[in-house]
Amino acid sequence: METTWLLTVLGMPLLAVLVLVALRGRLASRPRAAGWIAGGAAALSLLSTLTLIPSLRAGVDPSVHMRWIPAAGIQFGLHLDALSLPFLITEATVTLVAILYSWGYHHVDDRTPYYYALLMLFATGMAGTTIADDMFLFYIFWELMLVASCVLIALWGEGERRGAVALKYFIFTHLGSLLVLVALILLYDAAGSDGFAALRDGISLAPSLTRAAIALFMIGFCVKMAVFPLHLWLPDAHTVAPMSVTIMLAAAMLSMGTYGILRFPIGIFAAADVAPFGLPMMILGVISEFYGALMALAERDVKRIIAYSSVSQMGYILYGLGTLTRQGVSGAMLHVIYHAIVKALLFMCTGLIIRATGRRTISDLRGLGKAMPLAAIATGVGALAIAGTPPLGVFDSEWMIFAGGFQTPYLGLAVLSVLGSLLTVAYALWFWVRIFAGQQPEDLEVGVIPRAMSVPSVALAILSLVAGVLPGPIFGWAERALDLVRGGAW
Amino acid sequence: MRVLLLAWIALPALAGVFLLTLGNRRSPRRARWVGLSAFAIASVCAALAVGRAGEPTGIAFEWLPGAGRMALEAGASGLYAAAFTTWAGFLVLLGTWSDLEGSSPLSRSMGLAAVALAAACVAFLSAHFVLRYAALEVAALCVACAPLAERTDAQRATLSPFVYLILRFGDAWLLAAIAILAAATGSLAIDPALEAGQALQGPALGWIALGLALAVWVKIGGWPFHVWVRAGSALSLRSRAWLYATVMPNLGLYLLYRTAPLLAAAETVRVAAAWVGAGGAVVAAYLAVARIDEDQGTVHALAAHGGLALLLGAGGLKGEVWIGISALTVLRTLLHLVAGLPARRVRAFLLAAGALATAGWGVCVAFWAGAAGLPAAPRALAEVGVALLIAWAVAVSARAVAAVRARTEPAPHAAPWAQCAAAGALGATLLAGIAFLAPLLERLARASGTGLAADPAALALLSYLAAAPAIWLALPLALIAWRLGWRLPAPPGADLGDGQRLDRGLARLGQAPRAIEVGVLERVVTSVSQGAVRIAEWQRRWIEQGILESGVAYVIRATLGAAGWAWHTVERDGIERLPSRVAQSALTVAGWAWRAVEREGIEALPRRVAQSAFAVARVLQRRHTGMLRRNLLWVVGALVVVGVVVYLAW
Repeated sequence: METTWLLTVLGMPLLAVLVLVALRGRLASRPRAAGWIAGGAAALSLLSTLTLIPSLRAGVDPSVHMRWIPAAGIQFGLHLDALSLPFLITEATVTLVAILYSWGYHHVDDRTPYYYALLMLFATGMAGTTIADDMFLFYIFWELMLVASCVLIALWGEGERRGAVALKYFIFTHLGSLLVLVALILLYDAAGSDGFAALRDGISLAPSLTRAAIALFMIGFCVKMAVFPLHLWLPDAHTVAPMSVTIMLAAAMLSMGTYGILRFPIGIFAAADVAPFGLPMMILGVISEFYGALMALAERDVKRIIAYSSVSQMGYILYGLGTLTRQGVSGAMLHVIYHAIVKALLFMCTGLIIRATGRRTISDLRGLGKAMPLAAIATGVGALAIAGTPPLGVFDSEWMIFAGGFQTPYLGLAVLSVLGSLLTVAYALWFWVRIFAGQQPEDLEVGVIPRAMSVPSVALAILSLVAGVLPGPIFGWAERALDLVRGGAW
Repeated sequence: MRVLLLAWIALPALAGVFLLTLGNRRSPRRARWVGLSAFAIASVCAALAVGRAGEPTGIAFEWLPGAGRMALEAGASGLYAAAFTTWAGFLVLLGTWSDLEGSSPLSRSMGLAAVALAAACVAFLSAHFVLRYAALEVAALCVACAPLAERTDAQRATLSPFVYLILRFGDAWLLAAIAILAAATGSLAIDPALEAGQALQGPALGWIALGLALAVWVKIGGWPFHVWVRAGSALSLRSRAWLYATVMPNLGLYLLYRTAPLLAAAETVRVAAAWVGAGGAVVAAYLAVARIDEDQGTVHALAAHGGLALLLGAGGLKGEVWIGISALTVLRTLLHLVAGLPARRVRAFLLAAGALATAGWGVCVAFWAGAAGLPAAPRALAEVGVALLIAWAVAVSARAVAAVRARTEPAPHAAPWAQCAAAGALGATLLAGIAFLAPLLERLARASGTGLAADPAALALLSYLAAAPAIWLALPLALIAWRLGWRLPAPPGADLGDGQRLDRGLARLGQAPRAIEVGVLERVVTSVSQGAVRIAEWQRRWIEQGILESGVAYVIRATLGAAGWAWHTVERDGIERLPSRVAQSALTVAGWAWRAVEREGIEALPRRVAQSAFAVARVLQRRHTGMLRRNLLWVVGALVVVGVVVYLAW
């Protein structure tokens, strides 16, 4: 039964792609049905994921293994374990929310079935990356994410530069993917099989090759995480992409880099091999934290402000991973989840503002608090959450990351990382105050917001509060995940 | 006890949430009733709980897995601190009963106050560092949101982030200190962690002490961090007197009370904190003397007390800091409530009593600092601050008396009875406290489980004052200033009393530091913030859009150029032309081969053979024709050849 649910996780979005493409002609007369099909598939995918939680709790990891290319020893393997679960739930939830949001945001036309089909393909890529149990399949899904999102940006992006931005996004992230590919090939050579099981059993590589493989993985996954200075694709891609895609990019796809780092370099290699990379990761994390926050302060485009915030937040995550302590890495994992909730919320609120006013330069927006009270409250919750204000969720993960940092010998760096959060507070408050406080200009008209856009935003605002006050289940997942990595020996 | 604690915290929290979410739909009178009722019930709960302080009961729960069990405990010191803050809040709300400034600001302001009360109580009663931090953050948020809730002008957009950022600065250091302490001691429970922390040494202890000192400094509003307290001047009396002047400074003082031994254990930080506290007290007291208005003067005087409290903390004087919480709660609230009353004798009396008691508390602090054996230099500096506080108190008292004397007609409106009652109650508390100082101190010291460095009996204080050179040096300066002010020509039409002259003289004397604060300090802060934004913009323009983008563009161009070159060289000139070149070479070789082999070789062979044959034939013809001898020789030769061929063939 678990196998069926596991296949459903991946199969429902794929099925939706096929249905949407096959019925595109009929759907042209009822374009909203495409959104319903995609939403239904996303909901079923999430439901299937949630259904698998009891099995995992009982110690049974659902998995599927089939022969695929026997000549090369390549198989089609899917496996859900405690490490994959938090990422899979995050990805599935974000996909569902993004689809629901796009019901209100997306302008319906005869290409709409393709739009939803590509969104589903994008979701398939992310889900597949998370539950793939062999390297070949992992890389295929990894690239599927890129291709689907790139096409979405190129075809449905905002502005005339969408083609150039899509190309830039493709080149940057594909270069990262190539580094990952080289590292995967090294592992494949060493293990003699492309299954993750062989990697879990342990591999033997020459020290220089081990270092090279870790470095390749780190750089490749850092490109996906958009950590400074590999972030240059992110602000443009997030700004130009349609809002639903932006939400999926920022809230779900960025987390794939973290998953990759946990699954491969930290998960496979010995602690002593990864240890030399800890300090560079921490330093790069702190730089990214400061740099992204400063950029967010300097930006004027509301969407780009939130995009740069992602660069800063990924800095926290990289810093937490770099501590290589149980608390720090656990905090990084939690931060992925909380960041996904909050970042989706902030982008949704930004979408509400853009949709209602038709403006996206922050200096053109002022005093919207009275005209858009719901958006003001939701954005306020998001801004306070991203600023790490308790009891909202991000505080919990930030606390873990900082506490992990102080367990390392680098106290100065740890203090710096805490003080960097002040810049986060600064841009988050500045963002909210500039848009919602003050007097609304007379020439600023506020339009009606579709309920499909406002309801998910409010739901996420509530979720970020609930997840902060009752962090037990999420913490539990993170703890179980860390028990898997390094055999729980931290 | 658990029920009491729950009611004490949950009722204000619920009332606050109700007022913030639904309050603006209700009438302001109903909002006022909801707020005041919550504070009244909380005050009753506090009174009941104080009677059972120290009972080993509490509320324990799990919040952050891995951070240990969190608990709210009924320990005496936290309970008393929470009770003082709650009672002060009730009196302030009672005192501002008639303050109905429109429904929305009132309900929001009341709601923020109620939530802040709940958060402050959690912070006081918490036995866990992370819970305390979270509660402090919520309280800070309430404090920062007050301008947003109450003001409608453009300043609300700048004041709230400004206040929150400063408070977060302190909290960031607190968080760092907590994390280092937890990493070093392995515990997040406050008592065990602090106990184990005192045994620490080296940089870890230094970082912890630094973080705690900065957190305390910001929260108690010591100079120059008093700027966030000053922002409260633009708010209602309710927020000014309680949220800004009582809740956050009390939380800071309580933090100092708990962590004073740790602060005193780190020698470098201890000395630095003593200097900074004393120096800040001097500057703030000086600014209080050079007051811009009554309220600003009070803010600066209380900021001076923040500096003095830091000095006490540096001396490890836990008990004295603890007593400061109760003393300053009464004084702060009294000074704020009285300041807004119409000029009458009662007001003058209460204001003078409050101001002089504030100065008197400064004398006590200096007295204890001396007894604790703090270094002489910062102690002398603190004494100068105390002298200036005395001058401020004299000025305030004189002004109050002069205002009563100058009043020729009755007050334009009736005195707000609630404000008078609240101020009267606080004044009575103050006088009772002074009258029964010794038993009060004993009771408070017993509650906190600490002792005092020295008993502040009247005789001991007087003998200390008599032997405090810095005070006697600073006070004459204030007198000289007063004389200068008296001799200065009065502005046309102004009829100044003695008190006002003193005030003018002191004000002129205080213009210099005021100018420093307004002209330099604020500009420095503005410049720093503008600088940060400019740096960010520069970074964006030059690095993100400039160097980085250009760099990336250059790299891309270079890559494309290299790719083009490679394409030209390898693809078009190399790979693409290779076949043609190969073909050409092949053709050339073929041509050469054709020429050499085919045309010159194979094709030419028959021709050459033929030509040779012809040549031979012609030679032979020449040879076998003509003379017979040559013909015979040809026959013989031909026969030999034939014979050889036949021989070879055979």
